[in-house]
Amino acid sequence: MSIAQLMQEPRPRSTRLDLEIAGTSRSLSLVRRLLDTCTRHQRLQPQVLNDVKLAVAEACTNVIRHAFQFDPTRRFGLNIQVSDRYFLVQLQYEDARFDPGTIPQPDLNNLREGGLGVYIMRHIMDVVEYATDPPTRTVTLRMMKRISPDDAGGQSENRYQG
Amino acid sequence: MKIATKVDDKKRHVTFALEGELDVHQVKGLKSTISEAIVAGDWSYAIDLAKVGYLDSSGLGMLVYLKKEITRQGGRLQLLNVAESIRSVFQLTRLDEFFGLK
Repeated sequence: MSIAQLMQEPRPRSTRLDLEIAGTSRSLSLVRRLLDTCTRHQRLQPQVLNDVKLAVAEACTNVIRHAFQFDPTRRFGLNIQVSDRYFLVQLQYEDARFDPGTIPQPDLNNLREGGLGVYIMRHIMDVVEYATDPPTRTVTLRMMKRISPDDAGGQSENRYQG
Repeated sequence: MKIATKVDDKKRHVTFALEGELDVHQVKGLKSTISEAIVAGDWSYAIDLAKVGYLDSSGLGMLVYLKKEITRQGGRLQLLNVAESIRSVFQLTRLDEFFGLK
């Protein structure tokens, strides 16, 4: 089942957030606070929550910095759904220039200042997928992390792979 | 983001104690503040992260820049008191080795 389908599927005890975020870096702390709030009752391990919060913030940072170039008048959609099984995230924004095939892999042996955001997202989340719709210049980023029963009392499965 | 700077001229040592969340919103001002305090020569610098509860790739990028810049100018940079909540970001990106946190 795709992430888009999972997001449409009603789940018991799930929390859903549908937000419109301004293209300013000031929005990032707000997003982090909202994630804290909407995950509170899921009783996730603090480290799992920190990881997911980081992945979502990295995704938002990339939009604000690269697609919007810190233009506060621009907006992107952020949808988050947290249940006992999945953490699902969707960002939707306009960017005519973005080509997901050109995202570079960082050289961890010769690090530069930038380029770690998508790398971090891919290592924290189980699935990270981009879709572009050239006619509308819309980019959709979907991410999914499976919540295992251990995530309430153990470590996440995907950390530190690769 | 708050920053407290302590300079010890005798020991040629500077400590920057940061407090807050280190994301793209904070990085620009902070990078310029710390960069201005870097002088050429055999100085040692420490960035104390004890009160930094959140760090993202922008913050990591700033630390990478500062370490490279300080090294280029003949000095050394050490990170102090890296909290458990942000240590995993260093491990994930293998920057724990780069900063000697292992």
